[in-house]
Amino acid sequence: MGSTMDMSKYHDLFLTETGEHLRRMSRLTLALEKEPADRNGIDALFREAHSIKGMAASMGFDATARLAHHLEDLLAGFRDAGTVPAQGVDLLLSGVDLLEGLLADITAGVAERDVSILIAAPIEAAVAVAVSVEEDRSDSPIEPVTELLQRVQVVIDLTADALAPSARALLILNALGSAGQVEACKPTIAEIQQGFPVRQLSVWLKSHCSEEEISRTLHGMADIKQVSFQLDRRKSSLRDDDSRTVRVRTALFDQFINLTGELITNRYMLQSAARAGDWQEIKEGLSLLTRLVGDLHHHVLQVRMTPLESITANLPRLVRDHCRKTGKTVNLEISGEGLELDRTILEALSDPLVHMVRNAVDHAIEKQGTISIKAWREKDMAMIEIADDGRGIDPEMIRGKLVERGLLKESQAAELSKRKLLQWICHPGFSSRDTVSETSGRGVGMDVVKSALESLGGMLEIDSEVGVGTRFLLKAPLIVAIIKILLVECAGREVGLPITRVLRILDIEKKKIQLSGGEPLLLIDDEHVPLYSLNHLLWLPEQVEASSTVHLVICESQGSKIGLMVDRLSGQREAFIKALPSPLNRLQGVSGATIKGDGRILFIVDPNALFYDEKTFIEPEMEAG
Amino acid sequence: MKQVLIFRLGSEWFGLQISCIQEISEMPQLDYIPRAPVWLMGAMNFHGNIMPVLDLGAYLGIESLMTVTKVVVMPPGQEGIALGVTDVFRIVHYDPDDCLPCRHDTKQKKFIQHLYDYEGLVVNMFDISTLIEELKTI
Amino acid sequence: MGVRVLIVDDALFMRSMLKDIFIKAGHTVVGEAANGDEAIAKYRELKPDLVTMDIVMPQKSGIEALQEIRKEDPAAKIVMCSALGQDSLVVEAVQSGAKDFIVKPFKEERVLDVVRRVFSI
Repeated sequence: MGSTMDMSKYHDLFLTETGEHLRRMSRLTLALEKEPADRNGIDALFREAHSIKGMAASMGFDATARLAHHLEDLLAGFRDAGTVPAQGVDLLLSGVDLLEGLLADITAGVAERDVSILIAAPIEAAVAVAVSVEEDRSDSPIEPVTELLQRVQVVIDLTADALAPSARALLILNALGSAGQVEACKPTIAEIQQGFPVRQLSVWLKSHCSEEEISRTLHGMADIKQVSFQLDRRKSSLRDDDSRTVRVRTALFDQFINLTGELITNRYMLQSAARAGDWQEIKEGLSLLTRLVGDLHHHVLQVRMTPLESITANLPRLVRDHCRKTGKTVNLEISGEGLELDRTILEALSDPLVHMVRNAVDHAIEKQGTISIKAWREKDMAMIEIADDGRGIDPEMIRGKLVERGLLKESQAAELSKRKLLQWICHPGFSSRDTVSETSGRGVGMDVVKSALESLGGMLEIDSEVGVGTRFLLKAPLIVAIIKILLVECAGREVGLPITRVLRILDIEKKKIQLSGGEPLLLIDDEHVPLYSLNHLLWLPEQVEASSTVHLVICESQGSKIGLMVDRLSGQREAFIKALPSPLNRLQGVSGATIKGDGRILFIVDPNALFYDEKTFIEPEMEAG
Repeated sequence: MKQVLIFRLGSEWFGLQISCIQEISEMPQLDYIPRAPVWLMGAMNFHGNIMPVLDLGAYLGIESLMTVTKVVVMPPGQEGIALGVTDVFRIVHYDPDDCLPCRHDTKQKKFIQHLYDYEGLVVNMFDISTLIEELKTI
Repeated sequence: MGVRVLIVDDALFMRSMLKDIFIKAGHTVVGEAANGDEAIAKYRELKPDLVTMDIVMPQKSGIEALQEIRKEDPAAKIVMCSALGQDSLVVEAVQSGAKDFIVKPFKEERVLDVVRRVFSI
């Protein structure tokens, strides 16, 4: 790197921004395929390539800069010609692919791959390169969504003059073994041991290591031409958050600064009020503080919000490549991509979305048709609709299959409504490959799609009309709210308490409870802790049976310890918290609810808020009236 | 012409415009809502949404402890609530000419827009918007 | 950062060449052996950091020597030296625990790369 500046701090930013430029390039190129003479499109594409060139050159990534420059030249040529030839589109796309590969190299910290073939090749030859790149991509195995978290595909190319390449391959496998567990490889270990002349080795690795760490295990190994990671969205969900950068809108950032300012002011106000012993002032200060902390929490969540576009941007390309392979003509329409969701949720939705679009092209649409993806917001849920105008799913076919496969008795199947029948395509026993081709063709991985959604606290709706098309509606929460809860029972009713509110749980003998002014007390660590019956607080009848032990949940409420007596402690769990709809959101002390695996609803009680009306000096919020 | 659903609360008949209804279903399994007023029977899982079921008879003070066998779910955009009713009768066409005025002098009558004579059956035309407005203040 | 190396090869020419490469790079050649048995004896005696082991040698072969040394000292770092066309032998050596291999004719930087790599892991 020629520059004397330390460029490393721009590294992450470079990766993020280049990634964005590449997504736009891919999209613009596909648009040009439809309208090859669109001058504005060519210009826009030129600008994207130009930006990448500039950034890559400053970072010292010469191959990337060179390739971007080459694409710029190509585009200038197309601009002069007034149109982009069909081969030009292929060439541009293979350029984008290669740039993505380079970006992967840079991310992995390995040397940039060779770009000379593409640069040197005349258009016709370069198209051949493009096609081979596409075939490589489609060969990648489709892995179930649930397993992708820790699975990486590493591709190692050996140099053409590598000696004893099979022995080299074994050494590579040994080395990778230090970064994780080798699940499979191509060629197989047996083939390698028999002296298979390995030129390229693909390794599926189960690993907690980053790509960089994995590459490092091969550092300095002879005969390796390049190490790459299968360019795959799964990989990005594998990289943990702390290695990524987040871009924050200036307006949002300003709000953080303003909030910080207000919090400082608030602190001074509380300090002086405390000195003066002005309770009224303290009260006001605390309620202001409550609001400010709430705002802060809200804004922090905003930082994690990412537009849907980040996972839909690749779909046009996916559809195009799939069409080319299957010889179909599919028009993909996407709207509402500006909808923002928490990035964790987006990552979880990414694979289901790819599955469904791929299914639609492969199975639903016969020769030509339209797939439309629409996204919008409904209250705190994101709605993502994937609709096609393909052949549709015949519910009677499903009904027949259910009986045939012994999944349901004939009488049971006969009673199912169309909506319920359609839900069966998400059943793991139903969505096997042979069923797919026999019935009207959906089902590959639909069980995976459904469970991915449900694990987020979302859901899947299916509607289909034979000969008209199929419509999937994915409902997912916009933000994640997973908390750990303690399950307790009172009078046979179950509620959850947020673990963050619980100090400890203990069983005590009833006789240890003392009374003070008629109120029960317990001495814990030299501290008198008042006890309350949760049954009473929840307006439930007290347990009648006399038991000698009492189950206690010690919580902190308004800065002091209290003990809640419950009938039973029934465990802990993690729960997706749903905000309560009106009028439930006005129930004092009930902070949310979660839908359990069996579909039952469990409400969350906040011990802190149970007492607002009784013992706090902070007035309940106005809306509680 | 508008259509109304005729349903029963205890021994009285009520009518509700079907534009105010998303779905009518059998009484589902209900889950406990802590600190809910008595007329909230519990929560149902309605396609992944948490929806409280209101015991309409108890709310209106018509009849307490009556049996609820059906729930009438309001469409999205309304207050997310389902109405528990004793039974549903049928959906009929409704001719405003056959309406009779009614007096708004009791709590119950506040929710009744007017009376409708359906083949000799006196049907209380239910005013859902008043109910929704009132729920917002609770 | 010098590494203590034991060079095993039946050809004096190869031993001298390797020796020059190592010494020039600042490593120490603590001993040399011309066959497998000698290699095992020298390994016990000198406890070198690294062994470069020719595969084809009279009497005991490099692979047998490798196996015996690794049996006594599983941490032994042994790099195989092979000639062109001995791929299956190299595979066998790697399966027996060789850390890496170099192929004759040796290139200086190749040899040093291997040393660096073996000692960086």
